Amino acid sequence: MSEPSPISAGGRPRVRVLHLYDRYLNIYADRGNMQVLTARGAWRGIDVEVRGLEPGEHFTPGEHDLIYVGGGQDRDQQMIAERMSEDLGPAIKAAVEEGTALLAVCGGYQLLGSHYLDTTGVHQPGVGLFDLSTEAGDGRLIGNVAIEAELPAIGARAASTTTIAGFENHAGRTSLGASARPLGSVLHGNGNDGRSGFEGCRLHHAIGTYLHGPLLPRNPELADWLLAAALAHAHGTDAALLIDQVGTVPPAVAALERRALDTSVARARAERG
Amino acid sequence: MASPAHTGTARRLGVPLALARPVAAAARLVSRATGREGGALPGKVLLSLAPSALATMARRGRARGRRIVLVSATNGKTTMTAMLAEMLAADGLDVVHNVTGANLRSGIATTMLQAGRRGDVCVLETDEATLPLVAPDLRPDMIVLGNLFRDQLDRFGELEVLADRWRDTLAALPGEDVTVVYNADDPLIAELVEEHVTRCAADGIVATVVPFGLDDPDVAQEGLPHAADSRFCRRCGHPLEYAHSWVGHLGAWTCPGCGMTRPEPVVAATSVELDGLAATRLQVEVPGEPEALQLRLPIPGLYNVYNAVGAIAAASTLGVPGAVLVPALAAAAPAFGRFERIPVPGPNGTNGTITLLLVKNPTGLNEVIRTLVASGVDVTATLFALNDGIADGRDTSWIWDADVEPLFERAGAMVVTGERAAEFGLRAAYGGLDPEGVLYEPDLEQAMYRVLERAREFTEHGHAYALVTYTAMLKMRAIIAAQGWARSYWANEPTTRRRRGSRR
Repeated sequence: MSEPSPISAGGRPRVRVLHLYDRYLNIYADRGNMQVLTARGAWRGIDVEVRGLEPGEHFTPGEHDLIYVGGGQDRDQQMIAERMSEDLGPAIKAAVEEGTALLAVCGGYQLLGSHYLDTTGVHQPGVGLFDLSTEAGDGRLIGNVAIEAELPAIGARAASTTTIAGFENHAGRTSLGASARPLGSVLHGNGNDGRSGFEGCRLHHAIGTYLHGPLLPRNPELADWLLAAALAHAHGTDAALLIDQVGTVPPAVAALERRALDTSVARARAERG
Repeated sequence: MASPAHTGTARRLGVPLALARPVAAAARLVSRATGREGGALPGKVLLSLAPSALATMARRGRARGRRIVLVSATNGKTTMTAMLAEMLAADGLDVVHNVTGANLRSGIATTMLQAGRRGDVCVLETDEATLPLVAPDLRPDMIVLGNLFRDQLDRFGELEVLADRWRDTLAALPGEDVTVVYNADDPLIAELVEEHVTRCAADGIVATVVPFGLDDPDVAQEGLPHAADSRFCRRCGHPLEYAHSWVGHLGAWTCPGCGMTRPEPVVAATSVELDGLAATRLQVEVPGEPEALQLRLPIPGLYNVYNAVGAIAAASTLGVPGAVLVPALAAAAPAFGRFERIPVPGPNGTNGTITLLLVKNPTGLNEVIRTLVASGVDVTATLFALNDGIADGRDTSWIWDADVEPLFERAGAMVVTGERAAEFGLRAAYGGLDPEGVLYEPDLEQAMYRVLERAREFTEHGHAYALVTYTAMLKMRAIIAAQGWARSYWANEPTTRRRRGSRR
């Protein structure tokens, strides 16, 4: 395999992460996902820089390598839904089209669809990145969940099929449109709507999912895939390989990750059969 | 959730209370004999036989002049209820109190069942989601609302939903009969109580409300913590501004959007002095007292100051004079598992301790860590037990929302245990603890031995600290009891306490 392409200023590769509306959308340990990206980057000699964005602010597509959208309480989410779709909708879509990686969890996932119909019948506009829509249903879908997902190849970095586990807690039932591809199929739990057997959505290097817990600590393969996608955006496709070739995750952490994932999957299996 | 408005049907379906009572009492004997704690089962049996039993017991008690006080909060309700019961008992009242913290409908029914005809006042710790389910039946004379922090989202849904339910609970009670003692520093609670006052006024009723709070800028937080819940005005959505904040989102708040602002606390701690893990000194202004009360609480933590001030506000409103409540609070022991220090005999005649610290949500964990760190104790030997049962919260994400880093910095290493030990191990590793310092031992008993070994290795007398979630706490308590280090927790029963010299 050839050497990865040259690295950014300062001699270290750099990944720029944008955490959208971080003061509003942060309910299910979204901060944990940020800590995982930063630490897993550092173990590979990669600088992961995270900045937040306030409502009213804008960004230029391409100036970040990874966009993160977390979940909020229903009320906080209502307050910013319109703002996000109006102010940032076109920029988010353009960014994903030109290769920016994206992770949206729970409420953030819902906001990136075409719309959300809440329990009171209020229509909240969505960003329209993913071809999906969400309606609040009777009762919340709550519990441990495990899915099987395919993470596509990034340049020379091979595709993989992996089990992802998390915790879901959502009133919304999400229906995928004709052009949407799910992130994975549900092994145990509810997923998008409790019926279709689908969980999440993926478009290029953008992923939306209901799984939190937080998602990335117990799903390191997904965390590394996102970092690889972000590196590819920042430094060219070959840089995706950096994540596998440079540095190592401490073995003690890897052992904990395996145990955490195994326990989560076992919980989901026991709860849902 | 069950509808509280079931009394009519229930009375037709259920058997008379007099018949249900002995069956439920038998259930208590069975549950105790089989080693269960017996807190909830008799009530569960009683309510299944006689669904209207709560309303009946409350009504009969009321006819004899027995009052009912419900105390609810996401954090600290066990401690606040215990403090209030202690002060009322010291004032000569015969107090009925759910000591074991059985705070669901069934536990409250058990407590009232066991009290029978006794009692001048029932002081009932009430689970925050249970409050709306029992208040219509119990028709309380007083409701104490302590705080609303993000807690167990998997069980309760979101915080706003809980606040809405509390608002509806107040709306369903006769406004002239209930006194609301509430934490003015919690904007969520202050707003819903203000709605209650406005609604009563529209009906021509002057609602009785008693706001309490803190007023000592010297012990304020530097800023709102990450896990602060109520950053935005519940009424208009504008970000709130704080002159000072003390615990989580509790503080001197104001909304620049709609002008709503913290109600002036009627009972307020105006000076607070934290003295390590041993004690807290505070000065509390109470209406009707010629001078501010000077108190010494034998328990640590600013969050316990809120518990004390809330309990004082309730007690003084119920007529307990300062001269009685000050010594009563000075004798308050920590509630089960809350900074509870248990002596552990070590080898060669050493006398170590393990201090149990119950944690269950981001704010609770933040405050436990803040108190530990501020006290300056050596936390080298620290254990974290994370379970994910229903009582712990099945969703473990909350550990990531708490600011655990100051503990990692000082501990250097940690024993992680419980059913979700690996999750907390990852929290520690990603929070800056050297991964090699994460000592993974999922078995609770083995983990306790390991942390005690570490304590003897690193600290002079062998002092260990155990941060544990609820079901892990119960198991750890059972292990400790089996070792003979401490009594099993239900040894604190009976659930009622009596002091000589009744006032009535």
